[in-house]
Amino acid sequence: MKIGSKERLATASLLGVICVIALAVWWTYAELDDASRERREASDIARALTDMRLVTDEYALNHSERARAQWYEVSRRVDNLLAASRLAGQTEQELLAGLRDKRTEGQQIFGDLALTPADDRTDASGAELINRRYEVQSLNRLLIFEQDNLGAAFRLSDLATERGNIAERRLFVVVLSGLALIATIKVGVSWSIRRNVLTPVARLQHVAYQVAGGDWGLEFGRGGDDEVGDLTRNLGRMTQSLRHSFARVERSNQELVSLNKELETFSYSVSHDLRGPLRSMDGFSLALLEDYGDKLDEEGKDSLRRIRAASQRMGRLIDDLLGLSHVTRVNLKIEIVNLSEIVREIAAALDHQKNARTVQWLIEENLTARADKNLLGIAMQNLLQNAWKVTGKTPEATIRFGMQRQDGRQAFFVADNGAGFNTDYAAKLFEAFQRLHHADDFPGTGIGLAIVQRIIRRHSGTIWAEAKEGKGATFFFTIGQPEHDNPGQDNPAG
Amino acid sequence: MADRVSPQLNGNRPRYGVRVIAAAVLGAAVVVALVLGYLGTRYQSSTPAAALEKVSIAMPSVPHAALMYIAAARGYFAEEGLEVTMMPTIHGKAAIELVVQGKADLATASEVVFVVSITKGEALGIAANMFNSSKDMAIVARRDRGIAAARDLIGKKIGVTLGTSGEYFLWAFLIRHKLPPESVTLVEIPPEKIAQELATGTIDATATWQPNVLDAQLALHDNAVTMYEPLAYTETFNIIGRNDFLTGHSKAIEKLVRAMLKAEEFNRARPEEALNLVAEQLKTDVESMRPGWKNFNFRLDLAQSQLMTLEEEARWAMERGYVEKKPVPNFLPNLYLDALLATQPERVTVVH
Repeated sequence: MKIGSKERLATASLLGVICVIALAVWWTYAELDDASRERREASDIARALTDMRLVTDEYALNHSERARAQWYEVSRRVDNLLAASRLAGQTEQELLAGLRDKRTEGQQIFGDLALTPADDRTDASGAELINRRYEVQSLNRLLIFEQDNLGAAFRLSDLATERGNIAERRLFVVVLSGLALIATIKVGVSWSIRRNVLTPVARLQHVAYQVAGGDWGLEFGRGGDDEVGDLTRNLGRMTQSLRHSFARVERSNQELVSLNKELETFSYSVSHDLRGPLRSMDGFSLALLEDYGDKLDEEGKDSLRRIRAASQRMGRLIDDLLGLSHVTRVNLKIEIVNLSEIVREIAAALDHQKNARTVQWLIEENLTARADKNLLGIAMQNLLQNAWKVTGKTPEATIRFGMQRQDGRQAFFVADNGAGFNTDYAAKLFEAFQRLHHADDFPGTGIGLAIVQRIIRRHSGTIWAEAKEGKGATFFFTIGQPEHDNPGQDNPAG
Repeated sequence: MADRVSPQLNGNRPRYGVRVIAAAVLGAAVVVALVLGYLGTRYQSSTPAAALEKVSIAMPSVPHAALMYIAAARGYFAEEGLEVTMMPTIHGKAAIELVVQGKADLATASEVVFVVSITKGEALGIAANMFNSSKDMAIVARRDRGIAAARDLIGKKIGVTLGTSGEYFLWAFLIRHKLPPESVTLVEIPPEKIAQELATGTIDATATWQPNVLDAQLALHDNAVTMYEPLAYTETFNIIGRNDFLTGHSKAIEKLVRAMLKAEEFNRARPEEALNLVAEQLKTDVESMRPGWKNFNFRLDLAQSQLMTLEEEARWAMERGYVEKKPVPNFLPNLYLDALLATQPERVTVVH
C-alpha cells in the first residue's frame, strides 16, 4: 500500500474514532441529563408522598378537617406527578404501576374513613368496637401503603442515581478507551512512518553517503511498493548508471595514464638520448673552430657557429621539455611558502646576471600560500623571467608582484609594463612552443608559461593573463587545494 | 528494502521494533484493561465455593415460594456454594414448627404464622420477605347457603386453617366490612381438605390462599361466591429461621439471599419460563396456576411497613387468644437485616 493511502487510512481512522467518541460522549451526556431529570421527578414524588404521610399522621391523631383537606390536596399533587412522569425502564414502569395501584387503594381507604355506621345488627357497644377496629385497620393499611409508596419513590430515585452513575462510568470508560485508541493509532502511524519512511530514508541516506564517499559497491536494494520504494529503485538505477559511467571513465583514465606515462618516458628518453648527439655536434663544431679555424674561411666558420647555436638552442629546448615533464611527475610537498621571498630572490638573481638591466621591482611583502616550494619557485622563475624579457626594450621597466581579491579568492599577480600582447591570442599563451613574439625580439623556447600553467594546475589553481600591446601584461594565478602528494602519473590531465 | 545494503541500519531495526511492539502491547493492554474494567462494573461474577454448605429449608408446596423453586431448579444455590435440602410441609405453620423443633434450618411461611410463633416466645427471625400479594387470599362461599356479600357471612361456619394467614385474612376481611369477627364460627380445616369440606357442605365458606382458592371454586362450580379484599390485607411470604442460626450462619444466609436475588431476576426477565419451572416443581398444571400467579409479586426486601403489619397481627393474635394479652412485642430484633444489607442494601427500608 502506498504511503499516501496509509496516511489517508490513518486520518480516516482517527477521525472515525473521534466521531465515535463524540457520539458516545453526546449519548452519555443525554443519558446523564435524562438521569438527572428522573432524579428530580422521583424527588418530587417522594417529597409529595412525605407530605401525604405527614398529613395522614395528623389526621390519624385528631381527625381535623384541615388535615383531611390537605390530604386530598397533596393526593392530587401526587396523582399529577405520577400522571406526568416520564420515567422509562421496565423497573421504573413497574414501580410507577405499583404506586398508582396503591394510590387508588389508599384513596379508597381514606375516603372510607369518613365514618360509616357499623352493621345495623350490632348493638351500640359492638358498633363502637367495630368502628374502632375498622379505623385502626384502615389507618394501618393507609400508613403501610404510604410507607411502601415512599419506599418505591426512593427506589425510583436510587434507580435514576444508579443510571447516572452508570452513565458517568461509561463516559469515563469511553473517554479513556478513546484516548487509548487514539494513542494506539498514533503509535501505529508513528511505527508505520518509521518503518515505511524514516528507516528506508535513513538507509538511503547511509547508502548515498557511502556512495558519495566512493564506495560504489553498495546497493540501494529493491524497496517496497510505496513511494520510498520507487525512490529507492530510481536511485538504484541512477547509481548503477553512474557506476557504469565511472567504470568507463576509470578505464579511459587508466588508459590515458598509461599512454601518458609511455609518452613521458618516451619524451624523457628521447630528450635524454638527443643530448649526446647534440653535445657531439656542439663539441665537434667547437673543436673544428678551435683546431681548424685558421683553415676555414669565414663562411665555414659561420656555418659552424650556426651549427653550435642550433645545437645549444635544441639543448635548451630539451632542457625545457625535461622540465615540463618533471613538473608533471614530481611528488608535491605542501607547506607554507613565502612567495614574496621567492620573488625577491629571483629578482636579485636577474639583477645580477651578466649584462643586467635596470628594472624597478615592486614586491608586496609576506604573501604566502600552501604549495610545493620548489614547483612554485619554478613557476615564479618562469613568470618573472618572462616579465624580465618582455620589458627588455622598455626604458623604465617595472615589474610588480602582489595579490588582490577576485571573487573572494586570493589572486597573485606578476605585472610588467613591457611589450604586452594581443589578447586575441591569449588562449595560446600557455600552450607549449607557442609564442606571441618573435624569437628575435624576445628569446625563449615557448615552454615556460606551459610549465607555469601545469604547476598551477597541480595546485588546483587557475592562471590567466590580461594585457595590452605596448602597455604591458599581468599574469594572475590562484592556488587552490593542491594535489595531495600525488605522483604526476595520477594526474593524467597534466 | 533489501537487507544486504546496510548491516548497521538493519541492526537498528530490531531495537525500534521492540519499542513499537512494546508500545502496541501497552496500548492494547490499556484498551483491554479498560474494557474489562468497564465490563467488570456491569457484571460481577460469583465465585462458587469449593465445598457446598448444607442448608435445610422446610417449605409448603405453594407457588408463594416460587423463588426458592427457581433458585433450586436453576442451580443458583449451588452456584453460591449451598447445598439446599427442601423439606415439604402442608403449610407454613408446619414449616416453622420444624424450624422451632430444630429439624430444619430455615422455613418459608407467611408473616402470620411467624407472628404467632413470636408472640408465643419463639426466637425466630425473618431473613427476607420474598413474596407479597393483596389478591392471593379470598373468601370462597356457598351461594346456596345464602351468601352473596360480606355481611351474609354473619352466623356462618367458615373453614380456616387456624393460626395461618387464612384465619387472619378472614378477621381483616370482616373488619374491613365493619363486621364483628366474633359473628362467624371458625372451623379448623387443614388446607388440603378445604375444597372437599366446602363441597360436602360441612362449612359454609372458607378463607384461604391459592391454590386452595381455585380448588374450592372448582369444587363448588357455579355455587361458589368468591370475595377478595386487597384493602384489608397484604400477605407476605418470608424466609424464616432461628435467630441463633441466622446470626451463626450469616455467610450461608448471604449466599441464600444472593441465589434468591438471581431467581428474582430470572423471574423478572423470563416470567413465562419461571412459571413453567415452578409448576413443574410443584407438579401442577401451569394453567391452574396462571390466575393466581398474575397477582403475585416476587421481590426480596425488608420493608419498614412490614413492622406495622407484624404489630397489627400481634394484636390480632392476642385478641384471638393465641397468647395472653400483653404489650405488642418489638419485632425489630426479629428482622435479620445483615444478609440483604450485605448484598443489596437498598432493599432494606427498615429504619435501623
